[in-house]
Amino acid sequence: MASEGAGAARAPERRLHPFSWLFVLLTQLRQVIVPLLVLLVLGRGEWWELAAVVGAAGLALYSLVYSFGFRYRLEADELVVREGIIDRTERHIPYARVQNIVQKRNPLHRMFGVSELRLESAGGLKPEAVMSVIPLADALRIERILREHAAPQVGGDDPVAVEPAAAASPILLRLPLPELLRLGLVTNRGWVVVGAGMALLWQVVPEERGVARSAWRLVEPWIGIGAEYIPGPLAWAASAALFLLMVLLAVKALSLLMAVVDFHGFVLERRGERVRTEAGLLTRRVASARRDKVQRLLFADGWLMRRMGRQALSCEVAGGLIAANEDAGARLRWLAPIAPPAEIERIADDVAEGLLPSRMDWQPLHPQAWRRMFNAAAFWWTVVAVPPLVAFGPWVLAGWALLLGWTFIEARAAARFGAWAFDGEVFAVRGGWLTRRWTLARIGRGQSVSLASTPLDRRAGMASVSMDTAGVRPGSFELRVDYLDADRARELHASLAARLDPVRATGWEPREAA
Amino acid sequence: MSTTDPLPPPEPALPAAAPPPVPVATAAPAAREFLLHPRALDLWRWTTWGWIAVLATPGAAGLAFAGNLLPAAALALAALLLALWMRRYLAAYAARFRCRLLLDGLWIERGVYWHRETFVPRARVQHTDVNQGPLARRYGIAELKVFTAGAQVAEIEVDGLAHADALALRDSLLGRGGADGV
Repeated sequence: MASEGAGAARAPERRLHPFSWLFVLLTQLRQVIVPLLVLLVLGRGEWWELAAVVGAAGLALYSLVYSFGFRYRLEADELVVREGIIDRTERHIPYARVQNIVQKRNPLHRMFGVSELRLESAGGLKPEAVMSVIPLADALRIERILREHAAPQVGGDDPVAVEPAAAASPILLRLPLPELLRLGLVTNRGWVVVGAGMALLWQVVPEERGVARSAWRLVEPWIGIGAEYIPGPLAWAASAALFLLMVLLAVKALSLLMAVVDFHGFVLERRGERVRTEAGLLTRRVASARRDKVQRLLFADGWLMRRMGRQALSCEVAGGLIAANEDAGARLRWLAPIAPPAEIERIADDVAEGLLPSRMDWQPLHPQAWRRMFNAAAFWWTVVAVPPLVAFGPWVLAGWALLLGWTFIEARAAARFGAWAFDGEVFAVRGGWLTRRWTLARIGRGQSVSLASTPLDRRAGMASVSMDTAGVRPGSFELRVDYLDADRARELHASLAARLDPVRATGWEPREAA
Repeated sequence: MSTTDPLPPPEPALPAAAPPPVPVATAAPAAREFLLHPRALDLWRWTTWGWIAVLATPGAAGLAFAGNLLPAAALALAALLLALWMRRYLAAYAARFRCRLLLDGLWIERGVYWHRETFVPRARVQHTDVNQGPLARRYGIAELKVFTAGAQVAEIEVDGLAHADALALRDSLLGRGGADGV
């Protein structure tokens, strides 16, 4: 290690919390806990499960030594981390480069008064630093230091003036219990639990009994009830519907529970340039990101949400790839899981000035867009309908016709609502019908723009335009307009491309007409 | 080729050796068009045919030796048709391929069925790779990969460039700093 000049006073080195090894060990153990339980409880472990346990034990031992060797110090403008046992590495992390700060505290962390702190920069696969675990006071101190160093990036296209310390309360939103219950009612987080439960069952239930057979045993009585009351061929359908209803109700109940557990005590606050959320009943998660690092905003309201006069607002921030996968709730995401539209507007305006759907001048899609939407859905419904048609006979056609009718209504409505807007600074797309979505991003956040068309698009004189940004969550509503008039699409693509480069020169010129 | 073409007629093909259509007007003196290497199409065709042969020959030969002559012939015919179709497909791809270096970024246009035009500003290029396979090295052909911080178009591959062109493109794309936009 190169030692700095003798004159430069070094900040004192700090270690992790003395009980860090416990948390590291638990993290390691969690990954092998299921095979371990199978091994211990059922006593029928295979040799490779034993091997896995031995391997995990070795890994855990390594982690123990590792956590004892971990050192960090807080210099004037950077964090220095020394870690490693065989390969000692010293990493310098300038405060200004840290984009996301994630703090996690599960009940055990809270019992010991400690916290896991994770710092991320824009790129890379791994977080810059993971401190598991440090005393809560230290975590808060590091967070404060990082917040104070959150100067806007030099050379940014959108220099946001550093505002004087917020005079008003930094808290933008709190969610009391009634709001959490509303949230549980409109979301389907329960399915996540069901999915996880199924995965666990698959691993734990012995093969000879089988998950499918257990599930059937669960369903069977309901079918029996149906058969008692409604004789004839409808019994099966009726009891299936009854069972489905019960499942849906149970999942709704789970969703309510999940909403309360995940978002209990939700607080959104803005301190200087950092936006920070904190939530969780058992595991408390704190996520924060620099305000100017918000890549895009996503607004949504479902049918039920609209009836309650509520909307949801989330955002995407850039960051490493793995962190997003291993801990879905880690990064700053929900600015307002549920809130009245006026509140949502206020929050969006505060976090990302001007990114508001209501300020955009929305432009329609191609007049025939609904036809394409209808055709696509109708095609798939027809494909899906063929096997039951063969199996159950022509009455399936009635259901098919109903579905097509529904699809028609949906396509008309979705094509009417679907729209885009670009004012030279903000690119926005909206779409949907029962669940409506809006997404907005500044042109300066665009990484690339694309104009695409399929053979069907070209036959109908349409094309789609999209802008890519960093940190897009897989499966999220994309910043992409489909079924746009081909000429409008070309114009839009050209004007997006012309504004994309913050230090744009004059050399760009649209491609000559085809 | 028969009259029933499986492909749309290749759209405005660039004459293989013609000078790039540089706009004569005031703008864009630095805009430069990069053409495919003259042998790139051959290379793609031969590698594709090679793969088809490698995958289809054992099956067809095995069937023929087992005495199933008809299935063997059908498989061979299918492989032949696929090879012919790939020949046309690759020609259409090469004809539609356009790669232009503009003053402020890279403009790629390509695709036979799924047309796609993508623009990446120079300031958004995170890093680049220039790759050459063993066969491509013989012809002096290279593949350029351009990486951005984006999520959906995080990587843009431009295959079939002359090695010198790929290097020139790379150098020019990395030439200027700026905000990374995240």
